[in-house]
Amino acid sequence: MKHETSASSPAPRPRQPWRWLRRLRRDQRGASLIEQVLIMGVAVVGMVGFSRFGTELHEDLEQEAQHVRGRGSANAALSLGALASSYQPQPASRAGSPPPSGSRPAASTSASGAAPRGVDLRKPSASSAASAGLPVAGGGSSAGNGNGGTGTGSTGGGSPQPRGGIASTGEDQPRPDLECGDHGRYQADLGANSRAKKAPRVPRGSDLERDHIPQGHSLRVRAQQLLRAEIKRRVRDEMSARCRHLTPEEEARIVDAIVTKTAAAVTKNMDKMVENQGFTVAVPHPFHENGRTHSNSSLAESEAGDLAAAAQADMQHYLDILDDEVRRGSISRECADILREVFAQRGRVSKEQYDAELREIMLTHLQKKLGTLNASLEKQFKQEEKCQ
Amino acid sequence: MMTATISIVTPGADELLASLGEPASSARVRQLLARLGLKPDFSEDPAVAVAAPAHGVSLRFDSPLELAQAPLSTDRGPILVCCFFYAPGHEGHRGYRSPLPFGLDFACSRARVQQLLGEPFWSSVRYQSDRWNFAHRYLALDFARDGSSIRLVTVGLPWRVHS
Repeated sequence: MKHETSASSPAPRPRQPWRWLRRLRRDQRGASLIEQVLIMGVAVVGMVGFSRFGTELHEDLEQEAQHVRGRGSANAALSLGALASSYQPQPASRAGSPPPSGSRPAASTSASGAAPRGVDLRKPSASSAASAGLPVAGGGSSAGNGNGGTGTGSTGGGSPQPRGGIASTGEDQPRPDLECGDHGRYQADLGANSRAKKAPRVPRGSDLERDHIPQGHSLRVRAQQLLRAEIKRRVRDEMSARCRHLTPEEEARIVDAIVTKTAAAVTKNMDKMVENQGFTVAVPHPFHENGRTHSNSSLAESEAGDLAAAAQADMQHYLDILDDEVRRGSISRECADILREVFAQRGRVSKEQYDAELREIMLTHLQKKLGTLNASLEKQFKQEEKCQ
Repeated sequence: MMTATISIVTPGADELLASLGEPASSARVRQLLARLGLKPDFSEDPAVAVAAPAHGVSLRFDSPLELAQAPLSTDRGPILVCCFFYAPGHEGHRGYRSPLPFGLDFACSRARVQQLLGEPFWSSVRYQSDRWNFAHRYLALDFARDGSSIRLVTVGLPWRVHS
């Protein structure tokens, strides 16, 4: 019968659970305990969150400190990875004679110490830069091999090989020690790889720092100036397309559109990329401290217009104090000789060459963001001949 | 009171166009700017455009090096290279209320303008605009989508074509 009933109509709902729930609702016992459990839960989640935040913050600060100390920015390779994806290799261009033996010259002898022409940044070197996917310092003779140099194998001494017991894994290898007078791009040639922070810390054999010449802030300022000039050029393109000058409103719309389209690239990557590609020379910390622009970016704005002159002033200052610094013992006689040679080479780089290199870095970014816009502007530009 | 009355009088088209090619530092241009309530900032760049929506006028300055024909003045500073006259409501302007140059009227249709000025030197379907080139200046007109009226009158000095 029961079976028949259940088959023909739904079984009556058991009333017991509702009664229990109603009782529970009126029951005040254990309320404090539940409140405490809830509060503790929130507190534990908060503590874990704060702890995680603190860890991340610590790591970031440590990376910044590394950057300041000349050991490479942790995120640098990420930026350069963006460059690598759209980098167009160019014919090799070298300046001056190779550095003297005893130093470990970097691959970059191109105009501003930015990416050496002919180096395909997409192809990582087999040496210590492998994990960063970047070309490494070399003897200046291997730009055509696609990895920018022979890396640590070309050293004239020192301890070139990856250390820390993590070699040959293809990732997370700290770079070898710098040697005084090493020079090249800040990150790609003399920098640590991007994920070094995850690798075991390896004590460095020296307190060498990579000094930007001219200072990195000047490079960033100049890059921004060139970016504005590039935007203005595009405004002129639009003027040609319309066959008349642009009203202030039209100009503002175009500039806003370009800035909006490029904001991410400009604010996130370009500054860092410019600095990472900038020419640097490895010098001892005490010597670096006496540099003209050490911890002083006040000159950056005024000097950005002529990077060659700024670099010349930086190098001349070093040359002026070099003998005194050797006597003081802050720099060795051998390194001083190397620096004289490096500075003589760098002194031949012109303002135009500095700007050309920066513009190339900047356009690499812009073109990624503005591919469509470029195409339409170039099409419009063809109408110019009809205007006048 | 007298000064206030003068300051709100919109400069006539002839007066504005007579200033084309004049240095921004010239008395004539400075007076124009004052009347329009404009203060262009040339500290960073000679290429500056300023708008006076209340008057329906905008002015553009640029380096004389950007002109196809160098001006007579030896002043290397920015010069007035272009004047814009806006129809009421265009780009948020109140509209230029004095008579337009070349006997134009914002109510003129594209066809009517071509009757007045002849075949344009250059036309754009995309921008609904026509351009006429004269001896030392050009005239460009932007029309409404249907070509029934003028939205913007531009009179400027031909610029140098960059290769």
